[in-house]
Amino acid sequence: MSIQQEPEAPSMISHTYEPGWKQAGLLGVWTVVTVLTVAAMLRAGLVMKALPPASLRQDPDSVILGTKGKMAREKDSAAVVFVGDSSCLVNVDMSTLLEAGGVRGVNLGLLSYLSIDSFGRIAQEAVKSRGQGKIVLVVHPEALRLAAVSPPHEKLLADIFDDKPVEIWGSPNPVARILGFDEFRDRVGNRIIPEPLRGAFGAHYGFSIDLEKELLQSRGTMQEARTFNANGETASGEYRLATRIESECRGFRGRLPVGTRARIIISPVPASIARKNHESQMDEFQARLESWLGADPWASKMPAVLPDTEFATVTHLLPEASIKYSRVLRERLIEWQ
Amino acid sequence: MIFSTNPFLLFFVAVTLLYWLVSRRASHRNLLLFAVSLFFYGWWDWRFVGLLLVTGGLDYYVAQRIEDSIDDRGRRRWLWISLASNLGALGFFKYAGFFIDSASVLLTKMGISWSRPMLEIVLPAGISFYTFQALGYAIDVYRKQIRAERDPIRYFAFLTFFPQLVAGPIERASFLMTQFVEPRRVSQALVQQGVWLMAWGFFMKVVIADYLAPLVDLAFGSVAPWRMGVIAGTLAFGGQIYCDFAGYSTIARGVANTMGFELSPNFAQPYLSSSIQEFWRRWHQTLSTWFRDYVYIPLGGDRAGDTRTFFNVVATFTLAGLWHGASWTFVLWGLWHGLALGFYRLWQRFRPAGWKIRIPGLGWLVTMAVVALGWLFFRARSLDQALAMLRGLGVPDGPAWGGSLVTAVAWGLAGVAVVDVFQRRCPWSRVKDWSPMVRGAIQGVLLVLIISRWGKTASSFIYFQF
Repeated sequence: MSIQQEPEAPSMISHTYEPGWKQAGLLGVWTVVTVLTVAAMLRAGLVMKALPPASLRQDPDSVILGTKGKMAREKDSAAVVFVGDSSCLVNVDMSTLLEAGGVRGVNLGLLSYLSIDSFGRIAQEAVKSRGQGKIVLVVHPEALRLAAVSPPHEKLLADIFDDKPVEIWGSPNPVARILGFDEFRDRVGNRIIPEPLRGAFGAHYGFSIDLEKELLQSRGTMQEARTFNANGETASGEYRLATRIESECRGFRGRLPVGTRARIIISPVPASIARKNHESQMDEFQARLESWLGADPWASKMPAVLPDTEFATVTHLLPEASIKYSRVLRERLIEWQ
Repeated sequence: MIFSTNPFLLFFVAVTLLYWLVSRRASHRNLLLFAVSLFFYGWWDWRFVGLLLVTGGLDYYVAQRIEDSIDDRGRRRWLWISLASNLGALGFFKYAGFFIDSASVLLTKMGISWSRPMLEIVLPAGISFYTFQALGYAIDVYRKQIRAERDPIRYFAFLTFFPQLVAGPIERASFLMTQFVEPRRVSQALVQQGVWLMAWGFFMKVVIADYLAPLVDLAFGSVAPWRMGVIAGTLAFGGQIYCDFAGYSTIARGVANTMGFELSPNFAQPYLSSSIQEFWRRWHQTLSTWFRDYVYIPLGGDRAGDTRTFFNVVATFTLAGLWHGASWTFVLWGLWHGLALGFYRLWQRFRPAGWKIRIPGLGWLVTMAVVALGWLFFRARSLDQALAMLRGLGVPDGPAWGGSLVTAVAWGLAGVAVVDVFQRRCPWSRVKDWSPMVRGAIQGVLLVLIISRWGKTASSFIYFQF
């Protein structure tokens, strides 16, 4: 390599530009035209309803909401319909309830960031489809205290039941949204190409389509694969009822046909988190919730506290523990029937 | 800063505009490139900009001392200083923990109790790339193949040139430094090539590599590996690492083109190779040639008999494996490729004179099998995991989602095949003569797919960790 050692002359320039950028301009124009043509075709497909509806196989949340929406409308012989937050989804095992001539149920438990009103909506659909049924609302004290809801999740569930075209929350990419490429992915791509799930659910269920199959096979129960670590949790055992829980419970009751019998379960918490007065406090919550919901009281209580070793997270039991818990529940439900 | 993120797009547009609009004097533009390259690097962690400048600055000084030394002894002494500083920095930041861990295991096995020092060393991004580039520069000056650069801005603009700073291509001063000296000729053909390369590079990274990444995580994260999971996961990783790294290199070349620079090609459809030797002529070409010129040939290359050549090949590849990461899995990966190439060369040399058996596709199949087995070691977190995965080949049944994994991996590999076959049949030398409408349509389709996946599962480039 030869390096120029002379002082730089003022005329020395770093570049020379070739004239004639017409072809480059044309190339840019054709690139943009192609993108816009694809976008226009997708829009036309949407307007003309030529594209299939969105596949609810985007992520665990959309799979859960979509599958539970589908299950709610099945005309099966379930005697008891379980609705509630993710503690219902994971902790109540349908096959255990059915053991030894037990209870045939369906688990329509959703996620903790949906409101009790949404739980009421899915219960309403389930009762309507089946013509009868007893409802058990399962909520965790965490959900009663925080009660923060996610509007996109609420909207998705409402759209499913209102038979509106569902909108998945999509990617954080506004360009893809504006051009309609998100729609194509949701409506076509996700139907053809399996979408892998992330995190702990991914390791257990693999793909969105497999989660859907498992949910249908297990009649709505999901399994947790994580292990509870009391030191790693930031949860506090200081629980309370959020102010809007009362109106939501009354709304829940209002959605059910007159005469529908209902019960409520407050899910257990790990022993290391529970305060000394936890059980008595939960008894008090139970009484108030039953009153707002017009629910039947339990003859024998469900456990409010369980050992840490039974938990995967503060709200979710490990698979073996959910079986044990569901056996206790089965006994209580047989009494109810 | 990662290419496949919004901050980089903003950075690229701003830098390109600045570069074209500010003074056309070479010295000003070199200064601008140096400044924006430091910004690009510092975006990740400002603390390591100092390390880059210190190690790079030492080579700037040492190269001049080598050139100015009047005798070979002095020249050699300065070269050793360059070697020690570059390899010392690399050794400390990249290998200290590995060597301490390995020593600890060895001493424990020998029954010697030893309190292992706890080191929390953060690996500076791209250290393996820029130290090799600086080292190559110093060696080339020592060999009198190039002159030492006296202009510090020009030198640092070369060393820190942001498109290739953190993951290559590893450039030679004889190729890249000259471009900072001579006036660049920015032709519309070069800019068009740059845009074409960027479109393909982003497609490879965002659409294929980022799609395959979670599939690989699923397969390699399984606590009970099974046959199809191991095969699908390993093939998926082969596709992921190729599209990730070749995608990065292609984007880097494209970005450089838009500013009037040329960077060396780094990949040439390696998965279409029909021998392991061909594979290594097509895979990570700038690293391969670096090891060839600075390790293999100084070791004696193929000039000292078959046994010695075999040893040189194996030693060079084992070192190349270690270059990739401080883990025995990388060492084994390098050793495996070294042995494969060593035996291949022996076979080429000693196969029966009348050997004429030709089975179509057999060479490709064997090459891909060798490469895939290497990827299994490369991707495994540990030797134990690699062995567990190999044992998994004997387990027929897997989880319920095994079928979905195979289907999903097949889609990803189909994408890899499309990329390689298209690029093999339609190199830029041919594409540049196509009409703007055809090229624009292809770029548009690539852009549609890139936008569809952009930001969905944005992950860092695999080679950043090396």
